[in-house]
Amino acid sequence: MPASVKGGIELRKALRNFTPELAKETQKELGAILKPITAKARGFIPSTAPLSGWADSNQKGAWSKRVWSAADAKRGIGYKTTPSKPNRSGFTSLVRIQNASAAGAIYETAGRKNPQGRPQAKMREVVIPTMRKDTGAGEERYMTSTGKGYGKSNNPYAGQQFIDAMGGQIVNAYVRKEGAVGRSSQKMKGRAIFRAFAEDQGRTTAAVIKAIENSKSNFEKVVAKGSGSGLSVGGR
Amino acid sequence: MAADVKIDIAAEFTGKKAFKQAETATQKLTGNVKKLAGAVGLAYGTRAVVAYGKAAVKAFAEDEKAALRLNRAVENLGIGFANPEIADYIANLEKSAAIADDVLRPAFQSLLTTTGSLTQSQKLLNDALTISRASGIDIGTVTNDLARGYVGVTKGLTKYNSGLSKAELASMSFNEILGVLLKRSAGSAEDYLGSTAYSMDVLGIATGNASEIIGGGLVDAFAAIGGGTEASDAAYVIESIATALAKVTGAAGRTVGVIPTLIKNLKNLPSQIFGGFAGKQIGVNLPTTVKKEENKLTLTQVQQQQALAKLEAAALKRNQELLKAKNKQLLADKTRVLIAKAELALGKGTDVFDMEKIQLQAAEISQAEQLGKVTNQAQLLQITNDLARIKLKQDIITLEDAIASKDEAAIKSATAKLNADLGIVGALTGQNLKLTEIKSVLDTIAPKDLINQSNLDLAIAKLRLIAGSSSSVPSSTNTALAAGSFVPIVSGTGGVMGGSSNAGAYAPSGFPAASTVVNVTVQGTVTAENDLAQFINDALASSNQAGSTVGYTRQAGLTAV
Repeated sequence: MPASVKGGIELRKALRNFTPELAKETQKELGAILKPITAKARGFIPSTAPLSGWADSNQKGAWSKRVWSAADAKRGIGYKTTPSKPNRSGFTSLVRIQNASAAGAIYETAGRKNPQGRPQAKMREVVIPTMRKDTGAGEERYMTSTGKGYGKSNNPYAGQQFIDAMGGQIVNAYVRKEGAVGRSSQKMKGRAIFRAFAEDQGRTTAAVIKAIENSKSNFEKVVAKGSGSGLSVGGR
Repeated sequence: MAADVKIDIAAEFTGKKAFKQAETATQKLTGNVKKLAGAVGLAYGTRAVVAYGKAAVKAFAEDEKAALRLNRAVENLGIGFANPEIADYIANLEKSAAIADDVLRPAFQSLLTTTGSLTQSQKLLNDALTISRASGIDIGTVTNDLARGYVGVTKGLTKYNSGLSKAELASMSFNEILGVLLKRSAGSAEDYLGSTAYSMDVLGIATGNASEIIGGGLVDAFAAIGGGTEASDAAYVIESIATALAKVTGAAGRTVGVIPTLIKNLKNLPSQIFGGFAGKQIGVNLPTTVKKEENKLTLTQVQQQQALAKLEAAALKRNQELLKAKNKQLLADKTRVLIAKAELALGKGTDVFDMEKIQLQAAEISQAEQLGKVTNQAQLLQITNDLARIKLKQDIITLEDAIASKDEAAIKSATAKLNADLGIVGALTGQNLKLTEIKSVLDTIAPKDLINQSNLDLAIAKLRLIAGSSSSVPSSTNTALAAGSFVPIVSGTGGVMGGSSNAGAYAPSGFPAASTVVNVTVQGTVTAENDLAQFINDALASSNQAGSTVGYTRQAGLTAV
């Protein structure tokens, strides 16, 4: 769960508009805090493709844009300090670590929901009439299934095999608060950034909040010094 | 997908601002209404009040958008200074006509952008209200139709059942059509003002969406609080509460959060301050961007009047151009109709004018003259008709030339000439009798066949009349044939004509041919052989002298050959 900040966006605007140097310093400070964790996360990215065929650049269809590249996967891991669009709950992210590449995201999340792969849906048999020169009329039969939450491969163990081949370790970075009720979020588990974040044990979060508070404090100091000349600031 | 793989380290709640404001407003409103309910002895559900608060916020946003759009449209016309007056006009019209301003603004905007005239737009909006009241069609649709009609698209005006045909709508000017519509709708707006529907609309305007949720009881309560019983009293109370609530909400909003307020206040400060003492105090050189103050000129009354006059003049010019275009279109339509009529006459002339028929009739006349079976009067009639048709052909050619040249006067003249000549020929409508007469005359002079079935029948009948019998051969003839009367008499001996008892057998075949061999058998002894021979020789000689080829040969017996 992110630390909730009030007035962070306004502070950022104010820093950029009135104290650009202070804004730059804040950015630098945040970068220095976040870089170690992203570097650590990059270290969890394997240098070779978890599955040999994944790195094949001649992939067709949807997988043509998910071709494995260790460099791209590592490059996709980074941090951002620009405010995002509000999510459905109305929260805007101020500081975040992200795994932005497609291949990296797959490596990050594969198996975090279904560690043994997606279950196979109830299979149904598909019969396709065929006509061949040598054998004449015949039919081709295969089993298939549909549904987003279900495996579609003819190989019922495909999901399990894919996850097993990933290697690494899925770590849950979610820290359940004492006394919290209900089911915990499943979206804080992963092999790279989440693992790095979990191993960080909240130190980065604390440092980020402290940096924001420092910048706020510095900014207020600047404004307070300005108020000595008779200017009044604050609510009307 | 990839965007979801992230860890938010710090986040701020910024969303659902409107919802939050609505909730704040609702909480205040709930408190006020509860107090009000206590005062009047009523209790209202929190849910309804919450719904009212949300709807109020939404309605405000919509209203603001419509107002901004209208403001922009007015500014684009170069009369931005007139916005306050337009706002007053809309507000007054809203109260007097009981139509919400969020309906009136787009309607007025569409008229303003179409006509380009402030006065014309106001007049048309008032007219649209009258027509809307009379027809029951919403004001938005009416103004849209009027705006389209103003630029000559009258299709939408058919729905008002003005009694004008489609052709009339197309040919009449917009002002004429509007006059008819207003005449049909006269008094409807005044009637509406005295109706219960008007009172309801007044409440609807004042309470907005709240009237649907809160219901009539609350409206009555507001009216009672206002110290009256009329809907206007309730409207006044509602508006007063809303104003008070807005102030409370605004004040509450200002107390929330230090930094945002701080920033807002900082923004309001002159930027040079930071470039001066503040920058020096923190030891950094703060770049200050000095914004040039917008050079907003305020137009004087005279300039405003001039701008308005210019706008009205432009609108008038545009109106005149539209009228001119309409007249031009009408003229073109008129010419097209004229040409169509001429072509129709031309078609009639072409139908009548049949060269082949005339040639055939000329040939018939020629034959009739040869036969000498026609009267001179019929010939004269035919020749006269032919001459008239030739003249008709000349008229047609003239008219075709006139149509090709699009010379209206020439078309008129040629058409008149053609119609006149058609009248002479008797080929126009109403002159069929003359054509029939011509045809009957021609029928009487048509030539007859020399031999045909009727001729033969007549000949046979004549023969029968001559024979005096219905039989084809007279009986006396048959009797004579049977008796051999037609067999030639053979001369007998001694100059006596001989007969033949077998003559009857020759009858069916007629006379014997010259080369026919006649065998004469003499039975018994007539005379001595030599005598007989001599006798035959004499007879043959005599016959030869007479030109006959009868001869004989000696055979075993005597055989005449």
